[in-house]
Amino acid sequence: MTDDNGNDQLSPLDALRRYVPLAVWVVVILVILAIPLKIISYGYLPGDDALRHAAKAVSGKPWSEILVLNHAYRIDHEFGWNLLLEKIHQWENWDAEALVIFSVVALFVLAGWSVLPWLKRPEAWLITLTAAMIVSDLPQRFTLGRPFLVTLSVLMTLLLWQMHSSSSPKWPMILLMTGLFALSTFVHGAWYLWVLLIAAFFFAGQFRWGSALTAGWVAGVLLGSALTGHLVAYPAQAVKLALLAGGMHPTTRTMASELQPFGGDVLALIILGGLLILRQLAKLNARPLTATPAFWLVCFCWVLAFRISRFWEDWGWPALMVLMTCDLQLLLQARFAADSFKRLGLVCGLGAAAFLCLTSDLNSRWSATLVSQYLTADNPDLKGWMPDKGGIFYSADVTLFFQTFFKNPKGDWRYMLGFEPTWMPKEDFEVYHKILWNYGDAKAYAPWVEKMRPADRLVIRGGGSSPPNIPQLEWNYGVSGIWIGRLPRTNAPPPVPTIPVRAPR
Amino acid sequence: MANGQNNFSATRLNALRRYVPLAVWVIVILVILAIPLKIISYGYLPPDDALRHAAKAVSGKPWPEILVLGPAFQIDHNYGWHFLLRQIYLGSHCGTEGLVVFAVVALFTLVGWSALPWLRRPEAWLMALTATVLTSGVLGRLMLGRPFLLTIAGLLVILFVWQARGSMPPKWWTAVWMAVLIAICSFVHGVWYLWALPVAAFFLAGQFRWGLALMAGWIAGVFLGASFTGHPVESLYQAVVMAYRAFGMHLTQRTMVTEFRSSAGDVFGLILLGGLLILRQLAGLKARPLTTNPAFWLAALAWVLGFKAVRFAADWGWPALMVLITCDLQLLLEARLAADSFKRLALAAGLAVATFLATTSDCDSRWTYNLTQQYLTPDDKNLAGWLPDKGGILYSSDMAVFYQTFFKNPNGDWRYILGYEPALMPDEDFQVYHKILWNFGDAKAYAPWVEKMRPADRLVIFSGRSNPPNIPQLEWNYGVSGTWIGRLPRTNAPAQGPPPTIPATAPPGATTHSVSLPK
Repeated sequence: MTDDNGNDQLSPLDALRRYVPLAVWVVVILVILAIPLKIISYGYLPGDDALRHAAKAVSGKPWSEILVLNHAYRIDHEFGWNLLLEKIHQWENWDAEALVIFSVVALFVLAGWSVLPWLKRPEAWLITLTAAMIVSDLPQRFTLGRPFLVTLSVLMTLLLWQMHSSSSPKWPMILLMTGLFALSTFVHGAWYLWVLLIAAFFFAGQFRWGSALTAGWVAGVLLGSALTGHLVAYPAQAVKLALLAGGMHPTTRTMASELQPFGGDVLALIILGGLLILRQLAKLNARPLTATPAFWLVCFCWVLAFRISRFWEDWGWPALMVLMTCDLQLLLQARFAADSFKRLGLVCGLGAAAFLCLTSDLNSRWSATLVSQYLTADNPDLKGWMPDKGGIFYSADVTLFFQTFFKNPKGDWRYMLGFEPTWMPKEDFEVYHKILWNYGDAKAYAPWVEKMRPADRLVIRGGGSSPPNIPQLEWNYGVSGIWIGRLPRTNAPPPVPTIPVRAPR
Repeated sequence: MANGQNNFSATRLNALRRYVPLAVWVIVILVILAIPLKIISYGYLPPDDALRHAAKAVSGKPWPEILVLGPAFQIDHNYGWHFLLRQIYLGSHCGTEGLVVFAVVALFTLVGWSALPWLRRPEAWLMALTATVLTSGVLGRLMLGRPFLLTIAGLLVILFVWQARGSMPPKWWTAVWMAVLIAICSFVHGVWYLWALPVAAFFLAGQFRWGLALMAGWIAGVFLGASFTGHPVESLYQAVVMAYRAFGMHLTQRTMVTEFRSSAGDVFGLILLGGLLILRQLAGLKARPLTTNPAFWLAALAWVLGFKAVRFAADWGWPALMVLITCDLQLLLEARLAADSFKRLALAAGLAVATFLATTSDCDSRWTYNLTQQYLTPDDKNLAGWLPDKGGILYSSDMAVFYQTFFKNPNGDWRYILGYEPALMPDEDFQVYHKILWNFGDAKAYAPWVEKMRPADRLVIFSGRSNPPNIPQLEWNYGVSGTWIGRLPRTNAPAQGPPPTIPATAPPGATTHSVSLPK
């Protein structure tokens, strides 16, 4: 349409184009918020540490009153996170389940939103999240509600910040870095792993950034440790605990699954190869990979993950996601105008895809816990079968600690096995290790059975058909899949056991 | 002054550049040697044939004194390998475990090093090795300590020599060294007929002269190798008969040994090949067209035949693909990095670390799974009277029983009904074995063996502790973890010890489904 002066008239749709970027931001932000809310709505609860963090906050007790610990563990190594949850519990009177829900939603959103401030095309992040979920289930780790997600968020922030910034870091930026490192140290504890990021910056030739990060790291670790009230002991203990966790197992099989090696994650390599091809074919004006710290971090962590898979899951994959997002952003910038309706259409489609992909209850990944049965003191079937006051809850299955402590945060007993086996007393760790070494053979429990007192309980997962082959105890099939053993309350002699147990080499 | 110091440093660095190629070679050679040594240090032992090769060398007995064999078996088809191990045993008096360790380390290193003499950039081989390890189960096979690895090494040598010298027609001595190589492989490994695959690949690639040279070398080598066994015709004939029986006697793949079953298509192999094509395009590599490369045709042939038996893909296809990957990556490295650059040295060092960690990582307990293995040995007091008596037969339908028990008892004076290949059994025993597998181990399918068992014989079945096998004609002992040993009852008195879970009368028909016969 042309007016009397021959000027093109703007259609009403054109007037709306200026709102497209805003709409895109709204869509992306809301999708990232909606994902954990939807997942939680299934009744999802994480399977591990989030449960004990919440339970500890409700219990108000130090770990030494919850677990049977060795001398190495003296300070709560996730001091800040447990403090935060404890305060929330005190202020809001939330129970353990509410605290877990808070952890899951808040930390997912933190990780999901942490990259957005540095992006011109936030929809690139949606594509990355979807791709990562399809090939690795990595975003599932985003829903674990554990404080490592704070570290992961800081990591992605720093990587994207550097890629976004063309100038060398100034003093205010170094101060901000210090704050981020301090936060990560205070909340998560594993301060030493930041050396990977610093090394990646130096390998990428980003010496000024590397130097600034080093300064921020040193200051941040000291600040974060000082906030715990243990300036030296807190970081020193973190290193000691890491050495214990990695060094006490003769084989990786008996370690926690996330400390075991990975198989190479070929699909991630294919994604990296795909990025290289994309750069070539789409002629993206991207920074060379060798000058990108995220690339070097991917390389380091991929290699190190052949020792411990967490390097890859918590450091390598996030770095790869940053690389993907930056390249995809360049592609989107080259293909779509910022205010085009095609872009808005694409974003809506991507939002729907990301939401459905991440929230789909494939293989019951979000609803598996709905059928979990817990040992609780208020279950009449378990009367007399929970540990008595001052008793010890023996088990070789770490999930039994997570679940039972979660449901009984005020229980007045302690757990032999907590969230990390190597923090047990040494002689108990040897029993635990022998149990795992022998694939749960009942005879390997003998040393624990021998020292059990009437107040103690031994809990073993197993089918309902027959109790564990430990006749020295009397057994109750407490809830589905869980046997509870206690010392017999009569003097009748137990029958003789049968199978010898082989000691680990 | 500063400028002078910088120049001095630069000159010193430049003087060191000449050592870069040497350093790269040292790194690659050492890392290939370090890999099997590290894996063995975990306590790893292969699960299958390497154990019986070592045990046979220690026992000094021929196979008919070790196994209950049918008439098809005439000659040891790994003649050369057993001869070599026997000589090592006689010379060193190392036990079976020492021989297995030797086999694993020596054969992995042989395969790993066999590619190197023909490469200008040996670090490309490390990249190919890592890529293969990540995308296939080839590493597990390279650590099996079995003589087929010698055949793989021979194949790699021939393919790499062609990649390096293929632009020139072969000389007469090309056929000679190929003949010697194939003679050694045939003497040690036995499966001479599979060399038809690389011969076909050379012809399909249009490399007729090289194909003719290889064919001549093959024919001469096979007869030479067979002559070393003292049975130039029979040994060749028997190898074909054994292959025919190993495949032809089974109605379905399910009852075959796993490596004779079909491949599912190995998608990652195809992705790697596709990646090579993209790399050639994007990097502008001046590589020989795939269709004129015998390695490509061998990979293609083996991939297709892998749908029949996975060993085609594993033992012939993947090595050929590794040759292709290595040669293309070598071209890429030559185009990107000077031979004496420090960047090349750094890359080689990084690749060496990655290869070492990728291969030696104990992912899924692949190198330590055997540490909890328990064996049947006469020095176990719990097994007194439960191993076969002199002249007895150890019945089992699980080859692992043979491998493990023979490995630990090379001088045991009994024989095994099931050895390393079911098709070697007498036909009537094969029928029993086949019926057991057909019925997924149903206890009733063991009946013909149970009926002919003598007091000296034993029946061994892998099963959990909770209940003995439902074969009440025998008395049972839970010998070691996961293993039940059955023997004929020694008295007419009721069995000693705790009462059996299953009453020792006629089997209750309702507890098991009746044994169905394979159609």
